[in-house]
Amino acid sequence: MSWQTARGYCWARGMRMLGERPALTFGGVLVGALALALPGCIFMLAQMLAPVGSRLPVAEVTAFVAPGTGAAEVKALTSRLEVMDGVVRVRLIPREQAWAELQRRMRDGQAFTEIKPNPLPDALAVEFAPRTAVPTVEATVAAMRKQPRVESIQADVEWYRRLSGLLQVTAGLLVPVALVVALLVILATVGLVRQLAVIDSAELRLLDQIGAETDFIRRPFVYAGSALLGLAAAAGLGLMAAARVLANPPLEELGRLFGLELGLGYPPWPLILAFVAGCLLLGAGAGNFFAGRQIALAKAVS
Amino acid sequence: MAADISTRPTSDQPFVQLDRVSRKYGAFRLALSDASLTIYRSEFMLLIGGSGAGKSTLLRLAGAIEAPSSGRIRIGGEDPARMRPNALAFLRRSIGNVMQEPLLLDRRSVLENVMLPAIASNQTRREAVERARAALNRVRFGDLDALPRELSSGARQRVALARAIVNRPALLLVDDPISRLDEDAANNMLQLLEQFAISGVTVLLASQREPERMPARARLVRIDHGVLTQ
Repeated sequence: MSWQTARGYCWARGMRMLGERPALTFGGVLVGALALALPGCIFMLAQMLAPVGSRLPVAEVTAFVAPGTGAAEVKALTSRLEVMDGVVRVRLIPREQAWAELQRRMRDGQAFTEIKPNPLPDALAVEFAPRTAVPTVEATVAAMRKQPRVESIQADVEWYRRLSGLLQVTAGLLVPVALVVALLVILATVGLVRQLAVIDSAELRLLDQIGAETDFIRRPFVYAGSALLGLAAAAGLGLMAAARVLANPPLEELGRLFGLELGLGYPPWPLILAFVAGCLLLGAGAGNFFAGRQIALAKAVS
Repeated sequence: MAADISTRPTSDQPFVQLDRVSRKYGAFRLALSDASLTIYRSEFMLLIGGSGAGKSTLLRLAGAIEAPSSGRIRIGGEDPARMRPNALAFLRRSIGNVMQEPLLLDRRSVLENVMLPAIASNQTRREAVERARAALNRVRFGDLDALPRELSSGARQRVALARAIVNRPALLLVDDPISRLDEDAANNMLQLLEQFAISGVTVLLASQREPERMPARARLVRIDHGVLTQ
């Protein structure tokens, strides 16, 4: 059928357009792949850090109970602490358990056997909700210090403040960085498709003169743009896979040190498909747009 | 006063009509001035003028490739300036154009270059190949696989002519094909164009000089500094 011939011609023409300029095509695919892989890797990193991030910045303080405090008083103190602002859990660490743990951890446990009686107090481990604001933690810690039967409080609020700040800045930067990178991707790839249209301006002029319809003139550029970005997307996914293979062993090692599960995982399949489809559409749109502009320019010149 | 060069019709049906047409490039360069001209169906018109006289401009206007700065053009009874893009493309497909510097795609074979207008007019590949072979045969060009950049300027002209006739045009516009050809080659080209006119194609041929052997059917029109004269 004749429309198949025309479309077949346009497809072959688009592919030849890429094949006739291997350097431009290869450069385009490479730039596109790098540009597309970058937000992909950022996404994989964010995906990995999301659960870790919700666990890491949990503030925890220890309230040491005054010596001689009875079990009922400890229970009452626990209840009072549990309802304080930001607190999600209060766990009792009995002095006997703390003493046994201390002995187990020390290399020379013998030295402890001579210390009698157990000098450690009962302790209450107070856990705050994830992402509790630093001023809330500080206010609650101050209120804890004033509680009866609390002898002392151990709280490294400064560490929590630094970690929270770091995570806030990271999370705040992630979205703008991803957006800037995505914008650069679009600009780089659109620029490459534009180059194809500029190079072929003589042919565009000829096709216009021989009475080819606009769709026929534009279609090879649509196909070429789409193929260019499709290849770039595939290569970008390849780079993401390579990054995953290279980064996962050291990340897993690091995770083991901190008792965390670290490792880059692929984005969900629907997202990958949407990513590839988006690239194909972007390439097609860029090809269509620049072919149209170039036709207008060629008409103005001729 | 406009010069109306509408004499000696070979048929009584006007095909291309220019009515007080001017074409300006930029603010000052007037390439064609107040030209009125009627070309009749199956007429063979020879447009003679020196370099920069306005021949190519007139051909581009007659081929609906450019629009006039003022005045009105009708091709086959239609005003190209008022046509929709697809209708204009359809009109252009019925016009064969051979420019002074033939615009050939240097990376494609001769056959592919000649097939292009047939493919663009939605012919099947087989038919496009058949038409292209027939057109190349008609202009007596046999090296179908050659690349245009390997060809002499005369051969390029013949390939461009084959491409211009592949869609069996009603109007053939040929810009100065004989100036760079020797006498025999120029005569062959003129004979060929005359045959097209005999077979019903309207031919407008622009040339810098009068041919040694004037085609019998040809109507001569002169142009100088953008002004048509008899």
